[in-house]
Amino acid sequence: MRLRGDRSMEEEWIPKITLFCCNWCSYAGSDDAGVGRKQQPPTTRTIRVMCSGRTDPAFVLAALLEGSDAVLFTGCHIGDCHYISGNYKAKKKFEMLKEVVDELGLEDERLQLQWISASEGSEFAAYINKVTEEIKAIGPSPLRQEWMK
Amino acid sequence: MKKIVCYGCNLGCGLYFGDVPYFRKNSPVNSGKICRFGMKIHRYEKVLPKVDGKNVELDDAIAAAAKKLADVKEMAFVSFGDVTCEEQLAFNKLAEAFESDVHTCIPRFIGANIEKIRQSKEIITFIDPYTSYPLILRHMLHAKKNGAKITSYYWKKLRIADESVILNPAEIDKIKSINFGDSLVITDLNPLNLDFSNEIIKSCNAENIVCLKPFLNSTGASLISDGEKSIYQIFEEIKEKKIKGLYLLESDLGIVPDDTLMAALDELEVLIVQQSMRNALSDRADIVLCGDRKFEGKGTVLNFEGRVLENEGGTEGIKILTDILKSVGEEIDYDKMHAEVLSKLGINEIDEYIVPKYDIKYKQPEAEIKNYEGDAHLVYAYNPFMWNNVIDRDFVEISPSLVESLNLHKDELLKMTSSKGSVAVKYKINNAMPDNIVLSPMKLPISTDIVTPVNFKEP
Amino acid sequence: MKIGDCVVAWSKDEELRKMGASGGLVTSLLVGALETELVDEVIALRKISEFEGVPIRTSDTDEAIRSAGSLHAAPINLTKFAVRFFEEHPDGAIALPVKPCDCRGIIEQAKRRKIDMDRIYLIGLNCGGTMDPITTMEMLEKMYEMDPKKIVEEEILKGKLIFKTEEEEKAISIDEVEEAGYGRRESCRYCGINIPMMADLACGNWGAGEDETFVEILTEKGLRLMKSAVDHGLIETAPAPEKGIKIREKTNSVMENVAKTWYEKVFVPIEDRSERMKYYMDAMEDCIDCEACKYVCPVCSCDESKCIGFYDPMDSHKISIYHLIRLLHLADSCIGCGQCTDVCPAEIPLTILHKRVADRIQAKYDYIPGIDMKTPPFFEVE
Repeated sequence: MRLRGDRSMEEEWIPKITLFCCNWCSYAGSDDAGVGRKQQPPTTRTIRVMCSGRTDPAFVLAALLEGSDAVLFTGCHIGDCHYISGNYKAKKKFEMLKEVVDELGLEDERLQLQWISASEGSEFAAYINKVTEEIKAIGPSPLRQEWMK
Repeated sequence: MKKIVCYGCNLGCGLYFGDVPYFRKNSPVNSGKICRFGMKIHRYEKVLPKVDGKNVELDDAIAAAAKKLADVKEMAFVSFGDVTCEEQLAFNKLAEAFESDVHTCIPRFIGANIEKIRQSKEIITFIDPYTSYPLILRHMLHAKKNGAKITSYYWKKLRIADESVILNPAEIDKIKSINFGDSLVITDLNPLNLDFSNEIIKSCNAENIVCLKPFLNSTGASLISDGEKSIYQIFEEIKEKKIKGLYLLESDLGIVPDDTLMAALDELEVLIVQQSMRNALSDRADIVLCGDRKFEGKGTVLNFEGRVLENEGGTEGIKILTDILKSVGEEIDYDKMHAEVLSKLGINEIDEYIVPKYDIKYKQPEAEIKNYEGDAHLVYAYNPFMWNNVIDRDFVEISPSLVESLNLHKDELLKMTSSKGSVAVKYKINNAMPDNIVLSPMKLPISTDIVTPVNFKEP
Repeated sequence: MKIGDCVVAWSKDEELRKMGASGGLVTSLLVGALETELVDEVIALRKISEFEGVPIRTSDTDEAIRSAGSLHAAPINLTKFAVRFFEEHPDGAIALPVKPCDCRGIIEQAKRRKIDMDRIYLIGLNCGGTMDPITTMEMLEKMYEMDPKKIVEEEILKGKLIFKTEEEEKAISIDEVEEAGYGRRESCRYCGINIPMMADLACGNWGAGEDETFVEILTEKGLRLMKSAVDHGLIETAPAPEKGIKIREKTNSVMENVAKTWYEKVFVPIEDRSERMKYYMDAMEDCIDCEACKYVCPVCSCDESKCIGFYDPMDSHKISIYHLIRLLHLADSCIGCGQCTDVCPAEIPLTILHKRVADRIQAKYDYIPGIDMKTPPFFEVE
């Protein structure tokens, strides 16, 4: 949460997206996007976790309540987990969480799961672009307080 | 498991207690529901008997107290009512033996009961039921569900209220001009706001006021004891040396907003405290006598409606008083006290489901309500968690626009300065707050009164 | 007697037969379990009045005898008391009478390793619902025009709620009292599990004659309990009559249908997303952070509660994260027992909120909590 907003930001609303990246694949993927100079909007706040399985659903809920307009789960492709089964656990957590936030009335786009490998820099950038456009289209999260800039 | 009454306030919530609390669903006031205070009732550091700072056996502390009581002539006795009626009565006997009265610091008053809240169509509230007396909330919600209009007069907007009038410390005497009509008025009567509650009680019919009180047995204690001094009068008289010794029964004078008042206690010849909880007061006292924990005293308790409730437990507290009384040749015991309490209350048996009728006149304390100067104010919104020293919220509430104007980031502290100095505290942003109020559930060292003018500039 | 048998049974002790409901069988089983040292302790409700029962844990047979009698207006879930027992005596054994919701709670706790199913004897009781004591007292005064203090017995028979004093007896149909907002607790009205088939024994008066209990023996442990009581000369049994078995089945199916109707009435889906968001936000805003719902919840089992750990009273969130985490944690295990609603000081309809979320997930994974030892979907990772 930041109260002191950049004034120029108020002209065009830019969403805030919390991105959970696993250390071995998706974080490296995002790095690859940077190294490859792939254009992507400055909407994401990346949180590196050792494994996508470590992304506790409570982190996601906290991110949503603290003003994120969307939360993305990312990790190694199924079968490629550095810890063998971490991403299966992530998938389960995501599925359960998805049902809960859907029941709560949050739009589908606000919680997403994407597998990104270390070499998929351009896919990563394209994905962030896509999500940013989706969130721009549906506007700020109803869970965010008006004063959370 | 024992059947007990929660000592958080005078609502009279029933619960069971083994080594942890459990819900007693047929309790008439609360249907077994308890607030976060009730849930934590057992978290309690017990004090040890002490004389002049040294730990001693309880019997030695009692002997020391008896000796001091005989030596010091101008003793004052204070019990806010955090004890059962029986213990309060025993304390009265002790005060009588030394030709004094017991002061409860809260005037006698019994107004409307819970049923009246549930049935009413218009409610005006001066308390925040979400923090101050949480178990009254459900009765207000019930009334609201049945179409009651709720108006609040408080330091912030209340969610339950259809109309929230925000009190302004600079024009607080405006409450004099409120037209109460036939509305049910919910307010509280505590040792610190007598001028305020006096104004409200004066301007409406006693039958239309629900008067909540802060301590376990405030109502019972005020019916039984006759002392009429207010907490501020007691401090005044200590300063004037009219009171030379003080015996406090489960009464923490430290609830006063202005900490500097407490220094007066050091001028006393003797400060005897009989309490079970360890706090700043027990550390300051000359003699500490330790009885049952607040919820463990056996006996009767009257809630704010005058409903008579039973508390199962022990009689350690009464035993201490009995032992001291023995030194002046008076014999009392629990059974005698219990019989006398029932006859004083005019009842034969305890039935928690019936509210007996009382005919009690409210005696107005002499106090004039005053306005406070300044642009911003720190308001000390005392609640059960504070008056029992169970501090579980160490932050103040402020409005989002105040945060913005002060350029505060998350995890930064809010700095405030009053005439007494500066303080930096954690804050919570609350949309319901007005911009000129800082609402604090805890007493801050810079406060000089319930309302303290402050500014936010660096000194 | 063997597993799967249906019998009728009663206590041989004259006194117990009078004190306890339906022939005092359950009390005799508890006494038997203690006397034959099958268990170390039993849990029971000590009756204070028709509207008050205090849960006790005891190894004293006299205390167990004093707990005799059924209490419909003391809605207490005993799961957490059983959990406490196993915390204190990891190798101990315990027996307790259980309503279907107690039993489901215990099974969910067992899945989370808080209770050892091999050492807990569950004497299941048929349940048509429980009532809140304070509302029941109000109902007696307003609808029955009876003095609650004089009530000596209550009973549910053929869709009617019957109250008896020494002098008189009055019956009003359950539909009528529930229409007026009284009667059974809301969560009991839509609960369709009336016979505890997941317990060790399923006892009840459906299909039994006067002063006897109908018992279905469901497990090895149940058989052991019955046999030890018979061998000890505490109870007598006879095979259940064919007619009794039919009556029991019929009563059960009637109750199930009533529950279904109530369920549809209470859980009207909210189709619109923003309406749903508003509904949850609004309902939870009255929360005063007492944590009682977590404390009393029979299926809640974190050692260090995440819901409390992530919550800070200083947060200014639109929905309390405490409740969101609880919604998620209970998504696969909520049994809809109604305890949270019962203890909520702000009258938040917590059970309904939890069930709205949980029913979606439980339907998706085809999982009903607390009826068998199936792994909860949350723990089932491919």
